[in-house]
Amino acid sequence: MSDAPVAMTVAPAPPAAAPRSGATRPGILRRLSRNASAVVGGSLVLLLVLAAVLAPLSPYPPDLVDPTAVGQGPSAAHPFGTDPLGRDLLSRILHGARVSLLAGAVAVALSAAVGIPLGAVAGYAQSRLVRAAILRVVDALQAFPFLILALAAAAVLGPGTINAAVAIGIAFVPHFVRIARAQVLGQLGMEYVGAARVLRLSGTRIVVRHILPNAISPLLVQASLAFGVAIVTEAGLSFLGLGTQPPTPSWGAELRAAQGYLLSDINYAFWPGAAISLAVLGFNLLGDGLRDALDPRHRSARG
Amino acid sequence: MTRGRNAVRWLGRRLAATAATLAIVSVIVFAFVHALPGDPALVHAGPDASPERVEQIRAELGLDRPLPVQYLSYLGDVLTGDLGRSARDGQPVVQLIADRLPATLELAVLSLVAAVVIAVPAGVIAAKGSGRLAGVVTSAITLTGLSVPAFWFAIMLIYVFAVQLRWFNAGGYVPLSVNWQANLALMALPVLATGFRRSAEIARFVRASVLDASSADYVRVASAKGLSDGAIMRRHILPNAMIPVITVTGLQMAEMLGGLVLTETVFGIPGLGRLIVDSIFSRDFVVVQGCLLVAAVLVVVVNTLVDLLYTRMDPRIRLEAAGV
Repeated sequence: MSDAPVAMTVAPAPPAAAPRSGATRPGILRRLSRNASAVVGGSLVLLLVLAAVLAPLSPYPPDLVDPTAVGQGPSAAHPFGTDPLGRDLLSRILHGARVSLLAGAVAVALSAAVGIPLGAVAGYAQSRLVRAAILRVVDALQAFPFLILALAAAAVLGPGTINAAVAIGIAFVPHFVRIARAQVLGQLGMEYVGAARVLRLSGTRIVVRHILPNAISPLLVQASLAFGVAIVTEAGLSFLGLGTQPPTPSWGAELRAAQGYLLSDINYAFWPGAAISLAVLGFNLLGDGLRDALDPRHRSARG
Repeated sequence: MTRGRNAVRWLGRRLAATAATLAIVSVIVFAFVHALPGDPALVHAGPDASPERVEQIRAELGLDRPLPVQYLSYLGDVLTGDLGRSARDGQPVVQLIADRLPATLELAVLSLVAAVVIAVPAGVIAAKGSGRLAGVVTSAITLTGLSVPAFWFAIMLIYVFAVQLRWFNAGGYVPLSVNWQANLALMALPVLATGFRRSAEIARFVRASVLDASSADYVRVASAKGLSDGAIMRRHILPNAMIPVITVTGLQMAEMLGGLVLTETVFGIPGLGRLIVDSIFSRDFVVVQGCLLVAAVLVVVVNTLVDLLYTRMDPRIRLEAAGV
């Protein structure tokens, strides 16, 4: 309610502001569309989403065992070949995309939902004790190697895709706390924060309504990169046998099974790893592209 | 004089921060076991034990005491070098870890060396030819390194070098002290797999760091003195550019220890990572707890050393850190 007068005071020239904001929004999209990383990365991510959505239309049910087509190489009937049980690899890879996407989404959503508020508090809290406490705990959590922390969390939660995703999300929280805190600290010196303080807005309101929206782009970049790491970590946990459990087709569990057939069949081990690589590459490129397109410093350095 | 005292004060602050981190690490590791589902007394007693026997074991294990008391007693044990005993075979956890640690540490050190050996030339070449093509090629290589999962890359290496070319064994482990030739031959593929993955991040840093150092005044002076490009790179740019690179390499320790769990699994190397995974499967959580603690302490110690080294090596940072 009281937003309007505030906005008027802080930015007293709405006519000038209108065309500017009109130029930034599509500007970001245009910059993204001109950024090769963002385009290639975005396409790969889109491909992953399409694979997950269209998996039910795959040529065979993922668990259909065909004893007459065991361990075959790529053919017209089976574009990626079949596994040693005679299951169609293309269908299994497509269904595996669902597991990866689900795990990535749950992990990133959880770690962002927990980490960003904590990071904001660690940057803005009045109490020095609170700020120091959060930072110390984050320090201690980051002393654990990422995968080992995820392993420990997975051991507590038990096996399964969702549990693995939650475990990865927990292991990611410290990263999001750090990024969010750094963003809040970076914005604190900005004039608009000073203006908001002069207007005696509450700390929560300043952070939620003013600081975080301005810090959204680095957080988006981090989310994209984290998504890739989450996918490869879920695959790693499943490869160790602690993530997604067979018979659910997942890329990590496929690799675990395929390693036993390496002497006779490279085809089986090739596709799941290639799928993980492309998916992670997609999120890495998208993250890089977002950074270039959204980060004003990068922009001015290039322009 | 004051400079020395400031440095000591800075060192004291740094070590105090490390101690605080380690203290919280010990709380997290302690909490880990208590967060686990299931009753440890029941697990120890076995499925056929009577309720009285379970309570007796609970008292023996000290699990009937309040949590803070249990934590302090755990901390006391840890500080005296007692990490408990394996629920599976009663062996001291310290002994189990000591048996497994050499393989992991060797793998870690060799992989970091391999990563730097790959990354420094790659990064320098990328920085020297700072044209579009060099930049694109380096980005492509580092992005591949960052995106291809190391454990899949390892499997592909096994297929090419062990199954097809038969240059190396597909896996296995011989301790360095038993037969160093056999040990190194078995370590080659795991080190290559891990080192390549790690080199990606380091190479990015080398490039940025070399570019940064190249624009410094002392490089322009050296160039004005008529030194050759090679000499400037060797004597002026690289030594300065290496400081942040060493930091980044050291800080890779944490991530690498995690990744080694997978590498050890692929190559069947009996290291710390395998011990963690095997112990999770056999629900031997005292061992998992010990491994978590050792891994975290290792990382904290390495990070602190890197930090100290970093400040020692660059006089500018030394003075800043000491507040001069």
